[in-house]
Amino acid sequence: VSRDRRVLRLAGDVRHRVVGDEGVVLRQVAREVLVVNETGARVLSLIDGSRTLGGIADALAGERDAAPAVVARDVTTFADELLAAGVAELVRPAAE
Amino acid sequence: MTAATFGERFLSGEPPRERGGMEIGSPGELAGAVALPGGSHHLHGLSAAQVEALARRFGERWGSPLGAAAVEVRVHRAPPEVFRTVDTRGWEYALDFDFTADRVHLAGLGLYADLHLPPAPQQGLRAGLWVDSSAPAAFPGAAENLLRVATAYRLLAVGGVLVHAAGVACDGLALAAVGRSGAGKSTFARAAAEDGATVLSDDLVALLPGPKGEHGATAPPRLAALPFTGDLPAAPGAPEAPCAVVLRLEQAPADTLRPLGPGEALATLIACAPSVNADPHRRETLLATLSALLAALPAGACRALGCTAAGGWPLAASLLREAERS
Repeated sequence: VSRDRRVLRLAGDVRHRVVGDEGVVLRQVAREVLVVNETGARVLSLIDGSRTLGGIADALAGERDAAPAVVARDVTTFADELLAAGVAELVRPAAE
Repeated sequence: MTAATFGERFLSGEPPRERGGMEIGSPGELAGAVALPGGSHHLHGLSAAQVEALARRFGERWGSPLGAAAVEVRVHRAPPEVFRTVDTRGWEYALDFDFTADRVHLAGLGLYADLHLPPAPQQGLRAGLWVDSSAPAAFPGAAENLLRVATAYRLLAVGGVLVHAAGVACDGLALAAVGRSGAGKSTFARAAAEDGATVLSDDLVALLPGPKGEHGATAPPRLAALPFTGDLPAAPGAPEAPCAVVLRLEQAPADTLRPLGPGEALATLIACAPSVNADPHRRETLLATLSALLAALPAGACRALGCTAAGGWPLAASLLREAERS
């Protein structure tokens, strides 16, 4: 499995907060509120404009004692959803 | 909303505040006050007819301005040409907002207002309200529109939130049935009233932080009545009670209850916190305030209530009774 080298940051109008075992994403411009699960909330908190998605997957796999390949695939899928929804923006593409 | 488009649905050009000579003074020199959760809202520059109209609208909450104001409003007359004539047939009314770090401008049917937000809550809010001088009958509605927005900001400043909800109190505890327009709040509230419960409001309630107890423990939030209602009249007095249950109203073929996750609960309240939830300068405060209020609720207090046309009240009442027993 190739590492996802993309780097994301959250869009400027996005704020998020972890509450219990869920996360809430507030998109001010779109006037939307999204709810994500605990893992999604953790991924959001790790998206900082400098870590690669592969690095985020490594961190998550270490925290959760989960299979790295599975976590990496889930992080990539979730990141694609965030990009499609405009919650996150690409800082660095997979290959430069 | 950008400054270029702000108010264009309602104003024929620059806002009255920017027009200088277009303002033609206050309607009168009288003053009055509305007692609301978060503090008294004082209005100045009123005519005798406006005082009478507001007294009718706000009932026993209306009186003379005494002490410090939580919100201070100066009313101005503006010539009718400032405002556009709007064909409201088949139209859903929503105010226009322009948000800045320390001010909120709003425009609506026959009104423009400029709300100054202080850096510290003890300073109170100040507002200017410009109303169409040729439409005296529209004044109470215009004033209430500003007061609703001012209440949202005032409550946020003191750690509370204005919530689109039917508030109901029964046996010393209260519940908030949260939902936007058309969710069934009035139906729910009517069913509660017919069953002998006290309806705090069928449209907007104040969710306020509970008092700090010993050792820093926080009591559950309080749910307080507001005179901002939909189909039902305002509750007499100013009832409030500890909030034991928060329900998200959902249309369903049968009355059902399911737990609401903490994220769902927070998202629901954000979506139902009018005015401030659209303000980009207040989003961190809103998130933090609602998170704190939700954390202070009893465990399992948040549920989704699927309700039929009957309004789901019997299920909600059983939850309140359960909360009372525990």
